Amino acid sequence: MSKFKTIAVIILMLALIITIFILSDFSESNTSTADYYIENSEKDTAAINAVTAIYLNYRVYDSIFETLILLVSVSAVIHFSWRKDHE
Amino acid sequence: MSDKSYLMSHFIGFMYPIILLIGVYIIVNGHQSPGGGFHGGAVLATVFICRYLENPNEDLRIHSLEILEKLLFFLILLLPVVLLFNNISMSIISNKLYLLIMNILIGLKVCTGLSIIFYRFVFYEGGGIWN
Repeated sequence: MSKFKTIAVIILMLALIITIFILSDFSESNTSTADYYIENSEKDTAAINAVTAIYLNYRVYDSIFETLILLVSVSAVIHFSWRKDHE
Repeated sequence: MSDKSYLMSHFIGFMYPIILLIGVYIIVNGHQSPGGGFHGGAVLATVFICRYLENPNEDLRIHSLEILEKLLFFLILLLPVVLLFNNISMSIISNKLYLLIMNILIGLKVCTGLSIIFYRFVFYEGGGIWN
């Protein structure tokens, strides 16, 4: 069993190192989208806060599915309750 | 020894309107200052947690909160579909109104969702220890 655990730990460490190596690859940073948002967000959407302009106008799918995630987690909490009576 | 702390109940009664004011301010000013629906909704959900600390009774109708949350999600889905995805070029005022309404809807939905999760964890997860 200890051999199994050693192999599993080695594989996990390798996966972690590869993930860190992939994520830390910032050699060529492309900021054209961010520059566009910073320059044009107030003119396009009339929102002074650029974050609101992004999450309610440019990326409104993102906030819709973020609220859906909360709805699904509420359903999961209700479904897996220890007490089964509903009200 | 009474089961309700004098200090906690009075301090929470003092903090109630301040928390409500901060939450509503964060939601309504979401398009002008840092904040928005998600943060303001989390602040508003604190009011329900304070309500539990002050008065731990199961007299809140959680089922109506669930129905309200589903209705709010339907409205959040409906508003961008009607306004944004139809290639209607919205003017400045209408887009500000759209941002305000979406922030209010998202804030109320996050508030109801977090309150439901909190009350379900408090009252429905006991494992037979308390009853």
